[in-house]
Amino acid sequence: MEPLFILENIDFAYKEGRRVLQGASFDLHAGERVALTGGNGTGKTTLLHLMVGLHKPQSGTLSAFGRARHSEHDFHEVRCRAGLVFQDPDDQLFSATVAEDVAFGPFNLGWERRRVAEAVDATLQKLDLADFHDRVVYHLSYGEKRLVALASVLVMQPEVLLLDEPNDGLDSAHSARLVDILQQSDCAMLIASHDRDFLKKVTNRAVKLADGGII
Amino acid sequence: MNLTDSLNNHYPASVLDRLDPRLRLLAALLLITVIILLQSRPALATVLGGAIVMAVAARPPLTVTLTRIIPLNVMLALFFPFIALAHVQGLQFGVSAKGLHLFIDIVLRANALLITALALVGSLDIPVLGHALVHLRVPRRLAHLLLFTIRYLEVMHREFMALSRAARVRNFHPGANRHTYRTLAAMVGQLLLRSLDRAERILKAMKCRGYNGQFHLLRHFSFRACDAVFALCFVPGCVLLIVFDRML
Repeated sequence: MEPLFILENIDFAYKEGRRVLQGASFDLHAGERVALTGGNGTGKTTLLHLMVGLHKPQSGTLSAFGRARHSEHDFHEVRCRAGLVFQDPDDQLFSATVAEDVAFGPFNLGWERRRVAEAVDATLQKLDLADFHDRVVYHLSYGEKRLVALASVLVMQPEVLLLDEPNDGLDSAHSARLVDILQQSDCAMLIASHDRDFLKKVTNRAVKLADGGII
Repeated sequence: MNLTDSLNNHYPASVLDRLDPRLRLLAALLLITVIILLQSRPALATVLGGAIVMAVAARPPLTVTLTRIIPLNVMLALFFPFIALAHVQGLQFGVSAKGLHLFIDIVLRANALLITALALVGSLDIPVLGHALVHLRVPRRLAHLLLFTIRYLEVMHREFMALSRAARVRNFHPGANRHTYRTLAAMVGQLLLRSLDRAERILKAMKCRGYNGQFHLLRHFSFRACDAVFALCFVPGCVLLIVFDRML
């Protein structure tokens, strides 16, 4: 079966000149749960952002779901099928209440209001967050915000989950819930993290970013 | 208590909560217009009484109400000498009847306006208020600006507190000197930069969830029988007030 993502010889440097990726190549297949490791500043977040078109590579090709992707328009579809969860939940959750935030993605997919409401309820239920439905986002704890941020992406039923340091700053109880949720999900995943124990529990393949390439 | 707690309403559930928030906003707008138009003191006193009845029905916590009403009246009291003495003629010293009447009118009107707003609008949750505004066709940008402000005020406050803590642990004591101004300017600049960065990251996160410029609302309101009853009492009440006012 064709890989979900194929990255070939990707070069990327930030505008201020910092070169992050050089000739990086990487495939992600259905059913794979890939651990993405590498030191600080090696480009883990950059790679995740490249995959959903938030950065454009200077050279190299990127294809997703069987098609080469170049323009903003191409990536719109990619973003609807591959969910990126940001490291800081305050970047991701911008609505006043939990339910509204979780509903944001499905509305963008063009779902009917009733279907959106049902999907929101079902997802919150599944992540054991049903009590949070009408909670105000800025009153949630950090761990709770992270779980809600994950819910806001899972509700869109993505085929691929891209997670940026999902375990960072979580206490053991929230971390255990996160592991449970990820183990139950059947999405392909790419998880950037430094936490080896966590990665061991949720991934089945590992790649490492070093010197601009992926090993 | 954190900064945004003050944006949240702490009102317990009340009869007014059964009303459509849109209706409450429109009712507040109508009554405020009426209060501004009233000229006679009995009419102003009546409308203040009505506002107090509504406020009692909205069951606002006493402390919240007092922290809003007391500052207004203290400020009005400060103006008392200027208003009441302004109409004293010639060289006589004292309070004129005309000035006193004017002052009483101002106190009645100001309190009626504030209490109406507290009862009908202040008891709405801010997210509900934002949505009601969108549904009332207030320009979406303005309503979303309100909602985003509420959401990120706390985050910005937290970032500023982090900066100020970082300065304090390095023994920074603000004073009236160049070093203080320079440090505060750096903090504000840093806050601005961080806010811009955050705004960019938020937009990226929104795009990742398929955002294409269109906002959809989860919350919809319905106009029900109790709303109709309220409107049928409220609108004629306002008309009667105006008629009563003009007859006096």
